[in-house]
Amino acid sequence: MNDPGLLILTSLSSGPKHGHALLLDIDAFAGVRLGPGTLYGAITRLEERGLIEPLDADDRRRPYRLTAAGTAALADSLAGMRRIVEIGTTRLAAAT
Amino acid sequence: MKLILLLYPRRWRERYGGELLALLEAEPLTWRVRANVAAAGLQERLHVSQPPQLRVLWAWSVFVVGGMAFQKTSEHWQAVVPARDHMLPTVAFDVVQAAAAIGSAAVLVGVALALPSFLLDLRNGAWSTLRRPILLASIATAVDAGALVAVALDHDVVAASFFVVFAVFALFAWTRAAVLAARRLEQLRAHAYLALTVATTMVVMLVAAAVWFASVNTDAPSFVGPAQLAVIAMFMLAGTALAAGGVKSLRA
Repeated sequence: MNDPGLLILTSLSSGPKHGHALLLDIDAFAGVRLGPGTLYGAITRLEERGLIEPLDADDRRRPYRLTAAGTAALADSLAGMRRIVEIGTTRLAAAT
Repeated sequence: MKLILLLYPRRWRERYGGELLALLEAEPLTWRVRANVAAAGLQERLHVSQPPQLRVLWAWSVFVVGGMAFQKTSEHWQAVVPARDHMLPTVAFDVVQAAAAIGSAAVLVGVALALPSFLLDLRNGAWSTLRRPILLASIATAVDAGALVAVALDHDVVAASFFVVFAVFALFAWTRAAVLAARRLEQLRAHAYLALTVATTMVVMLVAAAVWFASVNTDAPSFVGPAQLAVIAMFMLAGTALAAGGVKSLRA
């Protein structure tokens, strides 16, 4: 649940954000404070895989947004996690 | 902070450096943040720019520094350990040496397999790109040879220190030159198996060296000083960790 790539994709699903806005948003919705190096390492990988793309830089701060492939990848990941949550919840209920 | 950014590859800095600096200016610059950026920079340099096989080659070089320190430190250990307790450290030491021989052989086989493609690449103009790293490595080797001659002539401590420093520098410079050359070539499937072999020998050596140290330390607690142990452990652990990362990427 604290995979930096997934957290970034989730954050960008509400609209484009630059690095600092991503850190604050991820901290707010997931309670995870990513290090700046970790954040930009994950941004590099996501951009290489075509899951996010940069927009025009605002001063030195460059916002990123989801691509169509990124939206599909996020939907796949969330569906997989949802299945795990459902199975885990069902098994836990049966065990108690 | 700009100095820490030098840990990142040049191309990465050109693309993301400004953004990362802007982010760092908006964040409290704690030691944790600095360490995070430094670690990410090294990871970027090792993980992005090189195929996993070449990361294992870098790992081998780092490990070799620890291995050389181990070799030097372990000299004459038989004199301080009672003969009745020789068996375990002897076996551990032999395992280290055997694994070192297998790992070295695997590295040499990898170089030999890449040699035909490398020579072809040189004929096709690679020399203009590789000239500087090869010259740097050659100069480091020449300086180191000079320091070795000085040590042999009058056993000078300063020359001995120069010899050690330039030996490590030359090792890393040749590794860098080899990696830059190999990055231009197609990676063979055999190189993946050789990388796996090298990484395995490093794990075996790490464990055997730990067993050797523990068994010798029981009889002669002061034989290996804390500084020597720290150097050996640091380079061997760093090398093994790098190799493990390379193998993980290789499997992925």
